[in-house]
Amino acid sequence: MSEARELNLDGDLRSIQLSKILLVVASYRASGILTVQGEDDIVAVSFVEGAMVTADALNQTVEEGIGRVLQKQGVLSADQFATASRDYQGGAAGSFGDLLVERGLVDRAALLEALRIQTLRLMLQILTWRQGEYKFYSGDEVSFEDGFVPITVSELLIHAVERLGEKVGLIGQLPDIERTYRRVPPRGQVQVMSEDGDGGVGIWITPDQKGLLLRLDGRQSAAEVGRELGLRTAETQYGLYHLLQFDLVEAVGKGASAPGADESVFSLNTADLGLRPPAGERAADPALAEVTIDPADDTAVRAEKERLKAEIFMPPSPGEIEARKAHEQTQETRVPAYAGALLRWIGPALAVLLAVGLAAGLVLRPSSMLLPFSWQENQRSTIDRQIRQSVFQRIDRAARTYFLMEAHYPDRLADLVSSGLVSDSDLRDPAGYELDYATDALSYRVRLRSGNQQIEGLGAAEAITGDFLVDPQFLSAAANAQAPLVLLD
Amino acid sequence: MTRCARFVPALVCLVLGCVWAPAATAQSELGGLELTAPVRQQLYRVQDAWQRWTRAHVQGDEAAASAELEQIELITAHLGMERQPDLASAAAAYGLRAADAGDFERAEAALEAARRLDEGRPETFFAASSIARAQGQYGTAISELARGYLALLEAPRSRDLWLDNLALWVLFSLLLAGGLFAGLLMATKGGSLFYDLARLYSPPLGRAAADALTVALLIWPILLPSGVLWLVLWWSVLLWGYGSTSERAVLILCWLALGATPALLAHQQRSVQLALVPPARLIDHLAADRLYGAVFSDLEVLRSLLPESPIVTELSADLHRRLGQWDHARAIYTELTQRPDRPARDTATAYTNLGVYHHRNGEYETAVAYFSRAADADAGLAEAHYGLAQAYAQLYEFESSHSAMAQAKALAPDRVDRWNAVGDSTEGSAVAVDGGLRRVGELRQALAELWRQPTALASPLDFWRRFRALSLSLGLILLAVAIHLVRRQVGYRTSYFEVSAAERVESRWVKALVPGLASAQREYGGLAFGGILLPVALAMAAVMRSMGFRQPVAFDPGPWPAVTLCLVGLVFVLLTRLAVASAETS
Repeated sequence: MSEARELNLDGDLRSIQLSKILLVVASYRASGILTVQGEDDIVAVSFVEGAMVTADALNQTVEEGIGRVLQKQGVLSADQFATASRDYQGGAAGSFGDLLVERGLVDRAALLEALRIQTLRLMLQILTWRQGEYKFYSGDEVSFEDGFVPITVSELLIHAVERLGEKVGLIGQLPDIERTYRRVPPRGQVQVMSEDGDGGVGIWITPDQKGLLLRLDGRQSAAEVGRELGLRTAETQYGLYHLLQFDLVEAVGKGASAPGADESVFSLNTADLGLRPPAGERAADPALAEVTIDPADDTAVRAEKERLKAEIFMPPSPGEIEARKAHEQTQETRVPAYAGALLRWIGPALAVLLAVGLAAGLVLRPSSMLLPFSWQENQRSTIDRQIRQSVFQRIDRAARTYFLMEAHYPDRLADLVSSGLVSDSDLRDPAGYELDYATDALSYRVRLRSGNQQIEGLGAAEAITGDFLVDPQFLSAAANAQAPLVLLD
Repeated sequence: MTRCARFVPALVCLVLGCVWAPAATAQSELGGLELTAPVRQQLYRVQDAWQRWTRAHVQGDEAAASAELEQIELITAHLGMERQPDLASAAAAYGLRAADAGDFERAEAALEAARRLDEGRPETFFAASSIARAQGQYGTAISELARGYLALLEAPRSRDLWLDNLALWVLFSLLLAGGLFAGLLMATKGGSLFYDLARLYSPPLGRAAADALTVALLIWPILLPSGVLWLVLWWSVLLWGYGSTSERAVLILCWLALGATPALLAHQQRSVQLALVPPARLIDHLAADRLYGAVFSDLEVLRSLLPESPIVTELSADLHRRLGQWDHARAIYTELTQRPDRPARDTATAYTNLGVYHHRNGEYETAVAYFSRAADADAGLAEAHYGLAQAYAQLYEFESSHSAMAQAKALAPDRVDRWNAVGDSTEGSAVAVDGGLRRVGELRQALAELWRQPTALASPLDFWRRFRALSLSLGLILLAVAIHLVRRQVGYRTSYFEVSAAERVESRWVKALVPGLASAQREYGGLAFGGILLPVALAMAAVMRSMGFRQPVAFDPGPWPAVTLCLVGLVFVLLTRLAVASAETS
């Protein structure tokens, strides 16, 4: 077990799932208060050494939550709850729970159990939040109900896997910790939270999971390894689940790749909660009504509490059940060991290739970016022709200006560039052809060339003919004109 | 529209090619407009005076240069014009050359000449900017540069091309940003997509084969013509289901933009063609009283394009009249008034100019008759009433003259005051009208008709051809939704790896340098797209000069203003992103 350390966290739930925040808190064995501000509510969760001890919501007080649980359990009637609540709000000393115990309405064990169920229920609710902000305040002074058995993050996440699944980014089933597992070569660098920093490339595991990973050698069962490490059953099970998700371990023996198809995986997480599924029940069965919450194994009480438990823990909807079954089927055919570099880098690599391709397309033939399809060739050619026409007009304006200065057209297009009349970018053909320029001083011709091949029909020819400012023939015609004959009356 | 209509643009090009072909232009006709010997001599004197100005300028004889400029200005005014744009551009270019040689005094003299020849010319501002920059006067350089671009926007043809380039820039930026957005989705969600595809067939094939097959399945569109674009579309369809609502909305908008682009470009092509044909230059320059070298050949091109157009005919008559060739002008105006199919209102300007012709010749009764016909044809034509007043005054019919003058003043008081102030001779007191230029809008419309594509949809096949890009966009939307619905039954891989990736990109440099990445990791589609669009738009602004339509100017500052703006903008964006990334990281 790692030592408790100070931790300060804050951020946005859009960029990281809350389950991961909880794992970080657990791996640091941090004490303090985590506040989560969602769209509709604000929840404060108190931690002692990385485990949850209370959870209080702004819009749902602890007393309301406890009262609801106790009423569902049949321990407290509605009238009793209303009276006690009124008295408590009227200024009764101590906590609401103390008041209930003092009045003999409930014994302390039932109160603590109700508090625990309420806390779990609230935590499962906020695990589904996709938007909001979180902040963790480190601090040793955390108040909670005496005798409250802390809820470990692993325990919470086990419930989350079972009841919420993909809604909170936790896919697959819980594994059977009575099986034996062994390490497999990791597909990426394995990093340990609180030991290797708080972020970076790699597969992140907690210190407890690290211990588990190092000792799973295919000989001992995971449960035995967990016991030797001093882990609770829930921690062992969730740790194993996490390692399997990242393909860091694999089951040994027949049917190893599909955990729990016919096994009671749910039986593994009952110790801390006092939950125990009946023998032979399938863990993946969404009808959690069979789950017991009373270690005393009293049949009548158990049946009532099973019903209550199912309601409190928000059993999945029929749609979710179907989706989960479908997912389980696909899990049976899943590709092994895809948690590595390939999955991590294939997307970015393809994206880079695409960006390079788009840039190349833009440079080679810009109009193909606007009109990419083969049937748009005519329209593409029209745009190219019009842009080319504007290039030729630009050249002509510059060349005529050059002519007004030098009395002849430039010998090369480079002369126009060097005299500052055009720039290189003005001379770029839209289809990427080279411009060949030829002049006989009084006219010029621009032809297009691709490599050594002349492109016929796309060039331009201009002359000074018809331009009274530069046309020498016009000049000579006017100079030689006869003086007008003037008739006098 | 018939099939023949589709060949109209080709025929137009053929006509333009013939007219522009150097050998095909008849020298004696000077582009088809018959010029009298006195007008030719005046034009010759312009050419001659320019050459003398050049010599004087090069020799540093600014007094002689100024005298030659004055000569050019006088002749230009005599020819009915005010400005010489070609000579102004050349004078500004001389200024640039002098500045390059370090002779800033001569450069300033050349600039002054350019301003006298055609004030407000963009080339003059650009040259002034370059010269000021060479002298280290950066404030002046920027100011002159801004004035140059404003002058460009004031000229209709340049403004049209600028707006066309703006439209191209918007489309380029949107589509390129859309492509990169698909790439960003691949970067952030590609692992999940790859996993989901691979697991479909990995059991029978084995991992290596499944990987190879998945890669092939992802990149096969690259083998198609324009493969990169097909790749973008393919990926965007596959990734659509993995996106958030906003990311899906952005993809749909990008598909629709791609589908609508051909229609937008087809509409634009007509306006571009209109801006690029020589008659557009003719209309621009004549409207601004500019006499440029190719005015006669451009008019001939216009007449070739619209041989039957009475507006073009009237434009020719107006040019004859401005040049002082009144007899030529009168013949054409008379012919225009006798066309039986012409609406009476359209003959008003021709009648007015005929009235002016007879007024100038002292034939006041005939002038009154023509002015009266003009006023009858178009009662709102102030020039007709003003001419009538002047002619009546010459006939001593002062009551009628006052009445006509009152009507003219009621129609256009400012212009009448101006005419009264200028009209210092009896002959010149009547005011002519540029009837052709007045109907430039109709002329542009007639030219636009030449490039109009057939609009009737003869068959479903035509409809499909016209709108297949848009159909493709709608098809992409349907395909993406269909794939998503099917895939949802099987189950999507959660973004487990992607969240890990999001957490690992802690480097503020990576967040700052990869536009949209931080927002894409949070699945903010709009912000991610905006994050890409901004730098893409800035970068495109820098390269649009070499990709879009060139401005019809003799010279400009080159690409550096756009490149500078782009770099400044990109640095600003980068610094902002760095600051935000640092704040998030801390």
